[in-house]
Amino acid sequence: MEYFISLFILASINVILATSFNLILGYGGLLSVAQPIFFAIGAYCSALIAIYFDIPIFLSIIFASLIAGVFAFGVSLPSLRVSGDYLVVSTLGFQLGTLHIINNIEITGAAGGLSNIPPLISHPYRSLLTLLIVVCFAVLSIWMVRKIMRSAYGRAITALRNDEIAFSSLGRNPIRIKVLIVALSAAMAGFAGGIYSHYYLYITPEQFGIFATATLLTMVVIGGAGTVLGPAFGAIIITTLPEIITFLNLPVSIMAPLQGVIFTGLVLIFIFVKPSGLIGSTRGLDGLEIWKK
Amino acid sequence: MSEIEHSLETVNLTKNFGGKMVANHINIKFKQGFVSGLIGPNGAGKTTLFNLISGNIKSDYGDVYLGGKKINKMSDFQRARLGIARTWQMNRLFNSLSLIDNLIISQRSDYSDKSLSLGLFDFNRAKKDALYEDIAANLLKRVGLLDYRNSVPAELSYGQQKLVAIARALMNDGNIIMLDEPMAGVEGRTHNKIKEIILEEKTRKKTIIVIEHNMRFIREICDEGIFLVNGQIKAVDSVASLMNDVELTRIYFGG
Amino acid sequence: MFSSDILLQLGWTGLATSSFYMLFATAFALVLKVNQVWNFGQAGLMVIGYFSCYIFLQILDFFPLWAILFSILVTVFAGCCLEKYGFGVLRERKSPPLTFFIFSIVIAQFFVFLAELIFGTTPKTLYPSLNSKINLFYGIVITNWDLFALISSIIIMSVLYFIMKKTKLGYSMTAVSDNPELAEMYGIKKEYIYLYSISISSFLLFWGMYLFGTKAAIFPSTPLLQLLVFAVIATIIAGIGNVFGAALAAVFLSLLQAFSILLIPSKWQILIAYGLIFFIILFFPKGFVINLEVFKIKKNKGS
Ligand SMILES: Nc1ncnc2c1ncn2[C@@H]1O[C@H](COP(=O)(O)OP(=O)(O)O)[C@@H](O)[C@H]1O
Ligand SMILES: [Mg+2]
Repeated sequence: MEYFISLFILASINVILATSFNLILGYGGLLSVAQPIFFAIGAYCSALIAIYFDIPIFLSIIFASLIAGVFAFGVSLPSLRVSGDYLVVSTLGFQLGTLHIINNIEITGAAGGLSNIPPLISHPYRSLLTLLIVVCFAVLSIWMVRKIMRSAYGRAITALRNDEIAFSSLGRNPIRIKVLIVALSAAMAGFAGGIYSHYYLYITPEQFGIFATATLLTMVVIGGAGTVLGPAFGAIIITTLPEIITFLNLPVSIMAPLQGVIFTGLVLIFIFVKPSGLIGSTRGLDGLEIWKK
Repeated sequence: MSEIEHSLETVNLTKNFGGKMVANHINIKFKQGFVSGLIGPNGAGKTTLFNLISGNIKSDYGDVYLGGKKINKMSDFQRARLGIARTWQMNRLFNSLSLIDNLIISQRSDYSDKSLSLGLFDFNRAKKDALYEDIAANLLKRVGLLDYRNSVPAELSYGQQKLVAIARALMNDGNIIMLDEPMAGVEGRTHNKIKEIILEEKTRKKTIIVIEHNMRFIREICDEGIFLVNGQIKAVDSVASLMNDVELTRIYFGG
Repeated sequence: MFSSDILLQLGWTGLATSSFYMLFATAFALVLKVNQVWNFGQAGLMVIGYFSCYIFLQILDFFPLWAILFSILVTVFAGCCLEKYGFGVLRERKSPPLTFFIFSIVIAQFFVFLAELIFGTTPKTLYPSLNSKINLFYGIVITNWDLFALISSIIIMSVLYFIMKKTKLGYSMTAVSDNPELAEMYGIKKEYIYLYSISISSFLLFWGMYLFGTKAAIFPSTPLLQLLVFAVIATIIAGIGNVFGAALAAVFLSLLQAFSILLIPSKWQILIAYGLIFFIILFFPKGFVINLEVFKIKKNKGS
């Protein structure tokens, strides 16, 4: 039972992560490969704040989420002033650089990982309670993205994604919108990271590397980029499905790359065979087609 | 409104792309209540001149003045907010938005992207939109497309899309209107409609610049012609005398 | 403060290391210029090139020359498949740029994971022993590997320079990169040119991996996590469209990294490269070389 609850907590955390990523990738048409790093920043900062300062865990998660947002702002602003292509490059550099730092400094526990993280809830039913909370936040994150996209602001995001040059020549400031949604999305990811670290109580840098980027892309692409529920759906599938092959009892050294091959293989298949994703309508404007001019 | 306040002027405006001069010390003054026709062979740099004025690209050298104020350092959206509106050869409509939303978002004081809450607490969109929705609907009516207000651009014909693009530029309600080949691929009723709109805007004392290849159209509506070749202004004169100029006609029609 | 011997030694080592960085950067910049894609899939081709060579040499026990030739064929073939069945299909569908990015990143990851699955996550070398004969030249250590790597890379780069500047193929590649539609009107088949450029790029990648693999052990993830980023940074330093500028930038990066050891501990060296990304994007978004041109023109006009 505990095993399933833990799995569903992970699935819900991934729902937040995938939904936040979809806001910038699907709706914003911006590719930041560093989303797992904002998750990591949330996880590490929240854990460290909780370890070193005597404040409520919930507050430390909020702080960490803000820190992730501020980092995203700083990373994306210079590149978005130039072009969307450079966002890919700068976030790639940021991801590798941050991972390298986490891997090499004492305070984060270096490559060995950070343990002894205080739990968010210490109670006999801590898993069940965490599940309840995290499901609420998952629903909240989906609601937020839906609300944004249905507001006038969402209309502006859509116009910006359709044609940035036309958008700015009509008097709208595209950089402001882009940087703000990247920051919001990173703050959401950071929040998810905070919950993660205070539930699993142990984090290592390797969880946030290229494998994490591949997994996240898989969730959004197979679920359907630019749809409200698609990425959440993708997150649940991608989190629970691999549990089936754990019954094969393969060693980790085979399990991890095997999952990687399956996930990236799935993305490749979806790119060519069903770009609209599982949830996206086949009318041709959902999923990967949403960015067509 | 004084004449000076909204005059548009370029001084020595210069731009090169990889060594090729596409704007070469361009000096022009555009007059209020005047329709200027920008003509010249393909690749002459007409669209580039629009881009330099609207701020889509930055000049290497030279200045753009709006109402006596240098606007060189401003980005494209800042210039649009000063009332410089334009269209493109390829329309560039927002394909995922309905026509009415295409127009509403083009209001230069649109509130939507200024919200720091990213629309999360935007609970009365309809009420706020109502302000602009009337203006937008009126414009759609003016171009004869009110029936399509909830359609997306892909459902329209090419000519109708051109009309939407023009309506979108008018939504800015600025004093400078720049139209890039509004007549290309457009015939019959739409043709007359566009002509009618341009003349209406002229009577409202707007400064209008039109890039166009259709000489009949140029002759009918333009007060002056500006002849551009290889990024240089060859002549500024009445359209009739430009067309009588043997030398220019030869360059234009590639003798 | 530092003796001239140490400085010379660092300079030489940096230069020798730049042999393969130069090839990776050129390969990346060439495909970006001609095929107009940010080919992160290049890391996948590097994995394919390296591990096919590993199979031929260590498992099938081929004679090195044959192993090299076959691996070149495999890598070039993989590159052509990537172009024809990957980018080509997306291009035909008029897929948005984001789809290209996702595809190219994911394909790189796919091959890294595949290599980890097949060969494990431990580092692999191409030959059982990597000792290279050491020569002393006025107190500077110069290994045979250094000489072989540098000379072979310089020859390859010179041939490429000749191809780009003096042959019909080179002109066609430039024409296609400037304006694919216009090039077609002049009778250049752009699909073929794309295949040629990715073939050249694949060859450069293979040779870079071969050099790297005869000097150090490689993890399946090394191409993606370390080598690719260098190529990308060199490309943006030089400015997009500047193939040989990217090669020079790679040499610069390599020297910078070699000398940085004087000032910062080796484990932090790599951060200089990542930091450079932000420095370039902030201050020289068009790259150094193109920027220099702009300054020149401005000056002429001003005077
Ligand atoms: N962004 C750009 N980069 C490089 N060259 C450009 C760019 N935009 C336009 N050009 C070149 O500038 C010249 C003028 O183009 P343009 O202003 O579009 O001409 P026109 O509108 O008069 O037909 C053309 O040769 C074109 O190829
Ligand atoms: Mg034009």
